[in-house]
Amino acid sequence: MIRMRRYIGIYMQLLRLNLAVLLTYRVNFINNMIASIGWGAMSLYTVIVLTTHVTKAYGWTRQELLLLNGIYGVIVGVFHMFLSINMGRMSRVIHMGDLDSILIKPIDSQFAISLWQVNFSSVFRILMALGYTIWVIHSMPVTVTVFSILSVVGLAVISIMLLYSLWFLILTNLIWFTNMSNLVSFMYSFESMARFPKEMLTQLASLLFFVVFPLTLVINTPARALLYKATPTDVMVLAGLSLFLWVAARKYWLFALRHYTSASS
Amino acid sequence: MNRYVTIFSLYAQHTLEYKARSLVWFGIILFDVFVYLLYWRGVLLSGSIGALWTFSEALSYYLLLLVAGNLLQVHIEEEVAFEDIQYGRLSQYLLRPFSYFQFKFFQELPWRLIQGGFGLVTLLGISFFVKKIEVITDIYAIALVAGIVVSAYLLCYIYKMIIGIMAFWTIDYTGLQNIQIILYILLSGLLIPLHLLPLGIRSFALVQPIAYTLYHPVRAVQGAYTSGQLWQVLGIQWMWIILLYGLYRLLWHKGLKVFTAVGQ
Repeated sequence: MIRMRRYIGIYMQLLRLNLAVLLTYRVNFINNMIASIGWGAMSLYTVIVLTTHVTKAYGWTRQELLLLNGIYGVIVGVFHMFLSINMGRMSRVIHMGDLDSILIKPIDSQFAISLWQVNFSSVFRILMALGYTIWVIHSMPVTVTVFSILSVVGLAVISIMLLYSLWFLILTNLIWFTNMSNLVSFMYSFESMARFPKEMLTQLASLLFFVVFPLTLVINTPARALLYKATPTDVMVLAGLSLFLWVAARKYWLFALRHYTSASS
Repeated sequence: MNRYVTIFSLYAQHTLEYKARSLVWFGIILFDVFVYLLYWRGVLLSGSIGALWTFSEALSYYLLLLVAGNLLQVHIEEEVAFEDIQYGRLSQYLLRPFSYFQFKFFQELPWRLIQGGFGLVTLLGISFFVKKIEVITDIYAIALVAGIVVSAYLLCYIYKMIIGIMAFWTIDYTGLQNIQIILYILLSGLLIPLHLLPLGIRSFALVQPIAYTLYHPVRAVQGAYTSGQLWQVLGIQWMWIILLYGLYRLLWHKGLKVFTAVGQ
């Protein structure tokens, strides 16, 4: 409990430091804000264009596909705000040999590498996606209750945990393959598969589907919960897989650190 | 000319040393292509769309895009902006007895050839073992299409160099880079073929220079254009090449005046 309180304190301090950076480099913030809104708008525009001439795809109506993408924007926006920005830093830190300075700090290395930075400009992307989601819901015959909102929020948190574990698990390989820092760009591309219906990805050959299976749950399960289509099995599979990948990511990181040779060796 | 062959050879070795990186870049486009193909497969085979295009057309479009995206999509702008201009390495190039523009051209070429090679192997594999890909069959048009492909590379290179040297006037380049990537994805046909865009956007998207770096070359290889249309594409490509090269020269000379290198 004391350890938990200590880490909450450290994170609060990190938030304050990130806020100070934001206030110091205001033009940088505005640039990033425009870029963040641009990425969000492009993601939403993509699905609008892709579904312009389409009434149904893989059993999902056009409105449901738009809703899926709205929820994708919110969940991924939160993930990019607090976590993926640190994954980009992780690749640089390992590639440039700066991991040494993190390992000698008296805090958990996974915590330091995963939560050091916060991308406040993503707030605008989240708000935009949230507004879009509400607009889509209003045009659909869906009754939104407090319970359904709470279930979507709960599932979104579990989904973010799964996304993080997946990213961290894959990027831990950079300890051995330091030159492959473009794995981060690959992960952004890989992650974007989550905005398509799960049924679409089941078309893949079994081995490939096994690789992308966790992603099919991340956005699909909360979206299905909002549409009252999620089953208890869907929820249990999402939660179980998140927990499994979380533990696997932790163990793999600790294992990888034993093989870290630092930049000078 | 020999010096440029040497630059090309040196960077070809560099590219081969980092082939795993090339493979990851290739994987990024491969993933996107397969995701869009899967989407169109479901939509087109279920018949929930009008006769806009067939799955066979979609398959050949996206697989050719896989090759074009790797072969023709130049990625020099980040290095020009971050490493050369912002970190001040440009000074080294300015002191050397050859053109920066040409040096970067031969530096980038091996990367494109290796990544394009990955794409070509995938395309040939699928074409032989899974499904034959629709490509141009008119033997007389092949030379013209080859000209369009080479011009597309040149056009993309000049466009990306212009984007890169914009760093002369920015302290933080990241925002500009992100905006550029978004525009490129939307207007090059990487996302969706430009002829399927809504009418208002389509007419603009088809004439702007980015479309001539990927979309039009892919459609030309696909055999979607008549001989007259191929000449038109080539003509417009060269119009853009001349205009953008003029703009590049202007920005380069103006940029050099504001460039301040830091170091000893």
